[in-house]
Amino acid sequence: MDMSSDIRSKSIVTASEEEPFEAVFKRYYPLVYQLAYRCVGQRDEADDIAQEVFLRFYRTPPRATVEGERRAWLCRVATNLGLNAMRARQRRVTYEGEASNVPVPEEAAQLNPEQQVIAREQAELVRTILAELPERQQAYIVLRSAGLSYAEIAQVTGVAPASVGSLLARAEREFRRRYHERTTATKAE
Amino acid sequence: MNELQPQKQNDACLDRGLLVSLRDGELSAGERAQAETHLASCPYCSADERSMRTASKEVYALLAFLEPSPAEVPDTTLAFSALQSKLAEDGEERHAVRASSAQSKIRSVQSGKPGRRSPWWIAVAAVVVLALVLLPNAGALASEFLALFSVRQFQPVSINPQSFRNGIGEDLQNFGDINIQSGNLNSIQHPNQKQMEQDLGFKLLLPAQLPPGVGHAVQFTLIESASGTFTFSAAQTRAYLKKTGQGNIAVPPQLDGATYAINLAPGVIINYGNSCQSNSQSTSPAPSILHVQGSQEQSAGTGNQGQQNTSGSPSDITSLGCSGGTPFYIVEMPSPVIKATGKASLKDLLDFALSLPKLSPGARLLLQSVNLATGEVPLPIPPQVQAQKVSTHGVTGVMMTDSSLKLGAVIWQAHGIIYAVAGATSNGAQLLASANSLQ
Repeated sequence: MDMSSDIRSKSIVTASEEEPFEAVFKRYYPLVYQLAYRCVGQRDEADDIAQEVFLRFYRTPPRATVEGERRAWLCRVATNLGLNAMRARQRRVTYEGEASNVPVPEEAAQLNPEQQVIAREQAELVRTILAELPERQQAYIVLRSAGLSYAEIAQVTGVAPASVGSLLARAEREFRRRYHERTTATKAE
Repeated sequence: MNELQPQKQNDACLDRGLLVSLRDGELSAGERAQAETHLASCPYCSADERSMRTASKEVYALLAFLEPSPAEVPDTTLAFSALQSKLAEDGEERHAVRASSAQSKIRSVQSGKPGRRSPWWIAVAAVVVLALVLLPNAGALASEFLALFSVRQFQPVSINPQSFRNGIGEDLQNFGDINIQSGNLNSIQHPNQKQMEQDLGFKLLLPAQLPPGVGHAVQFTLIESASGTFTFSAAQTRAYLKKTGQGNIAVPPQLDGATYAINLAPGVIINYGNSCQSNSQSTSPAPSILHVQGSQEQSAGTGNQGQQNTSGSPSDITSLGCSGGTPFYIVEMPSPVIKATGKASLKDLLDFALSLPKLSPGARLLLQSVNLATGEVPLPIPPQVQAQKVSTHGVTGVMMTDSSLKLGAVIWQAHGIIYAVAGATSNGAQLLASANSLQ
């Protein structure tokens, strides 16, 4: 058995440090999973995406010189894959009439049936509106709602840190505008 | 002021980006002071800021619907095991490889040939295979990478060993191929608990209280990673149905080739006695575990007495490495992770199995005893074993005692780890006290 084939002991080397892959996985899996989940809303699918992120990381570790770059790389790939999956599903729903089949989250499962339906519909509505935003705005909102700082968002998306506030403000405004537009139209029907 | 149409009164006024940055605490101290001074004197910006905060509150309240609940976040250790499994499938890593931090050596697992398969593994395989058949999210099994399932709870189910023709896994074996790749056992004396934990990848819990008569010397025996697959075969199933006079039953075509992979991350057996052998790094032959599992499997009761051939007597279980005093063991291992691939839904498979009129009553009872919503799997209890649900470490576990053999065990699952406390005592209160004292 080749020592290098053990993913636990495989070291991820950067210019400044060397760290076992397993340690990197355990530190960042919760964040990567959370980003994916916000996009797709299903445990299994989010876990699949998180696994794919780390498979890519394992196969081709990013050339990160500082820890923040590694974290940014993981967040970038997770957000891209998550948003792609979200948009793909949205297209299926829109063009093929695929029924939404998002299971009730475990937490929501403790609500009464009516509350469960409302929670599920609300989550689906939020994702639908998110999927309609310009792609970069989707990313700003997902990253910020997951708790990333402006500096981290800047690193993930490649914009200047000083621009994040304005870009985020625009994304939030657009999200809210579309939300009200949609809910007003629904009420009118 | 309409939030959607912000108005700027003059060059000193704050734009929306600055207000959002102020809200998020992202301004420098100087910028913040400047912004706050302006807000205090500018009614337009002040109104705009209030409007922005109201709007933000609404936006982030909506976005909160996207958050996973803590219960929906997979256990990181299990997720890592799943990744190992995935890499193994892709040929990038042989399955279940792991590094021994104790000796900095890599140990590979052995391919389990039927003749060498340990009863311990048959027992685990039986439980896991049962879980396999009962994978949740059956409707989601139509794509390539489909579902992960891990055992979360145990439900004691009284069974009669006679109600199984050839053991619990009998019927499943008739439907396809079960391939178990079991790991070695390695008795290693780790003077340092942290070293062992590093080896395992999770925190070990040790008892603060041992049952009376149990020695305080301790030895750790490593259970190496293992994996297995079950692949449904339509041809094999048809042959079995024909042989058993059920040839008129149709086999759902989508089941053919459906494969379910199980991965078991490394675990540990902690053995207590008056003294323990110093057989550091020696690979124990499989029989050593048979004796340990003799105590547990008597309780777990695979019902497969013919294949197991383990007495489970107290004297036998001392051969693991420690001797003297009342034999006492703790097993800690991550929940098996099960991944389903293929075109068929698990519900199809389960429905098919349950539709067979000649399915043995024991297998039928177990298959019907699974709670897909909670990850609960049946724990078969043979007649001589008393079993009851108990509360320990904030979860529901199962306590099993066999007064004829003076054996007992408590088993539960918490935080993705299955724990079992077992010993040569049928005093349930003492066992439960030890189980509760794990810390």
